[in-house]
Amino acid sequence: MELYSGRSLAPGRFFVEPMVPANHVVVEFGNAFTADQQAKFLFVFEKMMREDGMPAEVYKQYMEDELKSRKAMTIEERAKL
Amino acid sequence: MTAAMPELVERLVFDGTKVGWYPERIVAWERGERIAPITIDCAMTRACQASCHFCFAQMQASESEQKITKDCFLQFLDDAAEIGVKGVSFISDGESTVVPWYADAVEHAGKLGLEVGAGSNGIKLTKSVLERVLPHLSYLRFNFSAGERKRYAEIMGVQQSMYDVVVQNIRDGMEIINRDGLSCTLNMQMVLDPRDRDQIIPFAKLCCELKPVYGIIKHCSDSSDGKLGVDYSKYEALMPDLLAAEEMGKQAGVKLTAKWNKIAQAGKRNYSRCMGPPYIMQISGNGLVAPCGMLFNEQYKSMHIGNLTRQRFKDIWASDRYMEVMRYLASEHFDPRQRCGSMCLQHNTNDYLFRLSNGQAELPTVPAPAHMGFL
Repeated sequence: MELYSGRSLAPGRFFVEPMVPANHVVVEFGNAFTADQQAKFLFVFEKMMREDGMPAEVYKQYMEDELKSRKAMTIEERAKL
Repeated sequence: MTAAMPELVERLVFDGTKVGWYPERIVAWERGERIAPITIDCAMTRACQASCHFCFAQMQASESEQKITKDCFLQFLDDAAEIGVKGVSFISDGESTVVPWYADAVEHAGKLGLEVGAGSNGIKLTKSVLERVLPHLSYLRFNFSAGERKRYAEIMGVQQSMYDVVVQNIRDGMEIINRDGLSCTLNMQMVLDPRDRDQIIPFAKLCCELKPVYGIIKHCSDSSDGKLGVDYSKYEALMPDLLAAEEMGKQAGVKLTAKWNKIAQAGKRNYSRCMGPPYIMQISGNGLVAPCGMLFNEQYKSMHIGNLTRQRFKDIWASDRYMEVMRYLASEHFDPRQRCGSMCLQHNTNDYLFRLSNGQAELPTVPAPAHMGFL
């Protein structure tokens, strides 16, 4: 499967870099959904699409490392842990 | 070191899997039965005083508001022992020694009859802590990814003075093991990013000086989109230094080895199904129960099974959700070559089980190695 089909647009035309590979779905939830519900619904969604013949992969947005640990702390702050 | 230690070290598997010595669990799983994991790799927190530039935990954030309590963690250990888990490794995505109840947890796990292992940056493993935990540990791994003070601080993101602290803690640990005749295989591990090649020989020199039970050099893992920038093509050029390090160990009477199989595979997988997690699974330092650490990030929510801060582990393990996720990973719908990063904890187990299922591997006929609680 060609993941970045948008790249075939002719030079000079307006081009927006595709953010999501062709077979990926990225889901965002409102805060009424519990963590366990989110996990279950994402899983069911992916299975449903695959049963329908689409080799989909269902994700949420990538989560950056927590601000209070590791990279965002100074050496001195981490040393106090 | 006790007289029995060299023999024990010879019986360790440094670069493979022991799952083949559990044929009854393999057969039961294939029959569709629920089996207890043999090993669980887990952490008591996601915090860490270090900030190693290659640390995979940077990419394992999820549900960050969760925090494991002592009661919650001890309950998890109770449950693990009750369902038939053989060993727990306190490693995963955080530095467990920073929680005030670390030694209590190690003692509790040992008293439950679990085989217990631990990995640590070693900063908090002072003599008094070591006195408490070493009698219960089968292995204790000091993550020490350099050999020189200045480079140690650069690579691990700590103050240079921490080098001296950890070196002393390693010395103290070996002294306790030798004094009391303990069987804990205290070891030093260098996680090697090819960019830190200059530290292979200094690391070997330090191992020769400190004389841990063994020293090991391993590859880095990376995400499927290469967020850490590990260049696997550059490992091959490190071979002369790695061989020289091993030779230095031989001369000094210290077992020093590299994880050759994984390094030689250069981050590639030769299997299209992920069959290892039911046998060796991982729990994040925020309580997240997932099939593996590669899938900890919130991005992979669809494969998350539960959280120790909300549910008992034995209930998570007994749930339909647990079985459906584990079965899905081993199905044609989940190809780890496409969906996972490189060099996961389950890699050797996955590789072996895939070959076994295709008639390309056999069950072992030789006696079981040491540390059977850890795959």
